[in-house]
Amino acid sequence: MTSNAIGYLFPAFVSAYLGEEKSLLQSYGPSYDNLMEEASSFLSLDLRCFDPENNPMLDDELKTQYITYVISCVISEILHRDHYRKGFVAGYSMGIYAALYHCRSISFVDGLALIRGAFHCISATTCDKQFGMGTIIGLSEEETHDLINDHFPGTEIINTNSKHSLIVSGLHHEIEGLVKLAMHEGALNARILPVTVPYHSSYMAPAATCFEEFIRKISIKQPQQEMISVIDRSRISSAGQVKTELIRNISHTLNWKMTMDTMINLGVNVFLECGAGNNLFRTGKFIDGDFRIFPINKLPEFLKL
Amino acid sequence: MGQITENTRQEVKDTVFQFFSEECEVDIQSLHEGTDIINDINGDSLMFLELIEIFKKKYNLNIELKIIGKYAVKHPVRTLGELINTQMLIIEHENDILDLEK
Repeated sequence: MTSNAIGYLFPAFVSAYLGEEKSLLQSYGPSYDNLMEEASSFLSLDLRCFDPENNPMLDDELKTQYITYVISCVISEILHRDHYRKGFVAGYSMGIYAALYHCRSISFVDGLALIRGAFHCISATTCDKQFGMGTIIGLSEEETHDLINDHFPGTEIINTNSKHSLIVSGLHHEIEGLVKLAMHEGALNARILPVTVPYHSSYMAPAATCFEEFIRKISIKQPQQEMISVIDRSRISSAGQVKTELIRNISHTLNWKMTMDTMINLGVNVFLECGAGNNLFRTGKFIDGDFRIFPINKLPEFLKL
Repeated sequence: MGQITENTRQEVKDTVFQFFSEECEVDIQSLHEGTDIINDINGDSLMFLELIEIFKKKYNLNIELKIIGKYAVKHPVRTLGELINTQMLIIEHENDILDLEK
């Protein structure tokens, strides 16, 4: 079929695996084992014992980021080898690194270096206070804004996944308070996420400055596929734009719903979630439009398109 | 208000079972009204939200999500049977569902 316009979606680190990621990707050849080996060697950290069912390593934020990145890169390798078709690319939060690898804008190990560099810059910024993130399902952005403005000035909405699914970042005690109040005010669910960093919030501004220094050491090339900015929906097609986006990605708010809307308006009618879990597949169900979205366990069906 | 007929509960039940069978990738025959949505079939709040949207369209319901949320806080839904019963009340009472407690 040639009528499909493809959108490649790269997820952030996961909180739960489907369980079949490793076996599925290993069935497509040696890329999984090769990239896990290369990552382990580069990082001096054994990621080869990762198993989504028996050893998911979810208690380690940085390891989870590495593993998520490697899995996404393996899918990218399979796509480049068996199913290379240009499309629009978007990286959800820290999914930006695998998205850039898919666009051949950065190398595999530079992606790992960027994850490590960002993590260190962020850790240095957040060491003096307790931060956190939360998710609120069932309240609108406006309703959540009102709660924040009235009670929790140290909290920010940092992503709108869909009309009624929001992510918030801020001081940990405020996130705790907001989650409780949101439930009282009619959220279907509100909970704290298992992260200790207020990603994409203004608290991260010093980390962004630190990261700007760090990425000078990284070779960044012009992307071979067009990327859509999750920050402002601009079309990223030069190395300079990639650098700017990488820095902004640390401390700027995202809007995933508008990013999806933009790609749909550009004609994308098939999306592939290029990563572990199925969070973006599930989020996609709440976005209007005539499109299909495939999670990783539907990769075989996607490759037949 | 949604139109309740003697078939409505069966329609709601069929929709709920079909939905969770597909979402949770479980055999529909294994589902029953006592099935625990979270512990037995790994359901979650996003699925609940999706189901609400399905019923809003199907029965042309006028109800705010936060009204359902407030009702659910006081009347937590654990099983498919409880979910069906709550959905019946939503169809019947829409935004007035909170008045049932007065």
